[in-house]
Amino acid sequence: MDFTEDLLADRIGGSWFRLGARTDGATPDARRMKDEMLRESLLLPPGAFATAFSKLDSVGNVLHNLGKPDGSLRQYGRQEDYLYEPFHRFEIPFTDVVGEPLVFLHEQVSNIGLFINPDLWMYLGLEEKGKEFMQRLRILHDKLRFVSWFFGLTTAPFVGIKRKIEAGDHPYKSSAMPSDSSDPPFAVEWLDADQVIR
Amino acid sequence: MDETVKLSSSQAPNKKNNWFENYKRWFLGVGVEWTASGADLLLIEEMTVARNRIQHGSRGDSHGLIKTQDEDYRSRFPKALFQSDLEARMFRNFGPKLRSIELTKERLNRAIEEIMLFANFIEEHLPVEMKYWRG
Repeated sequence: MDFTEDLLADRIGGSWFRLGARTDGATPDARRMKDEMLRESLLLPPGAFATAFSKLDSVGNVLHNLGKPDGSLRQYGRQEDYLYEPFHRFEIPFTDVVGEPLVFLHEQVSNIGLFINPDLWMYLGLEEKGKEFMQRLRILHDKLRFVSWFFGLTTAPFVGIKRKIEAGDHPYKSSAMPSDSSDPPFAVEWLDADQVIR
Repeated sequence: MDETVKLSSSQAPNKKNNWFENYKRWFLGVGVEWTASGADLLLIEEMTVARNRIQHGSRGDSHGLIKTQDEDYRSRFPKALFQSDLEARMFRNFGPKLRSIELTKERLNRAIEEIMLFANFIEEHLPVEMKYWRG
């Protein structure tokens, strides 16, 4: 896997960078594979990139706790210190580099979403604008999924009727008695079921 | 789509006289070229026409279950997705003026795939100032 494109991403227009991105509601393709993306960002002190980058290893291993408050207990002989790491302070392991998460995944009980560091929000004077658009895209996706589910569920009995008639299964077994009609047995029922499906 | 248009300060496209083309041109004006989406635009347009026929068109059977394409629909979409295969085989250059609008599970799924491809493309390519945040 090649992450070069993500790690060295260009601006997306003017002075805009994509600091965070997350796939929401990806559907599996024919091979049951999902194309998912997660991008988070971290502000590093000047000159610290090379040190931090050399310790990234598998990116997810080091950065999976980005933006999550943490605590640790350190012992110095008989003395114990409890260290609290707030969400806005992220130490790259095995270095003295401390960065500040800018956009990162935030998990709540009801949902998971990207969280923007309030410092960044206030510093750039950001204002929410297109959230409704993203919500609409999600609603569209949900509605279409529902339509597909609903169509499959509501037409299934009629698909079943057609299949039974074609196979001559119960209760559409044709009578041994000769018929005056030139139509195949249960033609009306088959046409009715077909009409409903369409 | 109208809600997306509202995110821009540009004047909204004309909804009359080939509105699909007007919207297409409007989006091109903000840098979103629909033809680059890879979506079947003719099918997207057909869906809007089919929806109008289903809502407002005349019915094709006594139960009111079958909705119909009119001549305008057929001339605009000669290879329509929502047509009856049987009728297409039976009636080539003749036959009834009204033909069935036919939906199957496969066609529905194809339409849904195209809509999501189209909508995701627009979301992806809208100018940043229309999408998320502004200073």
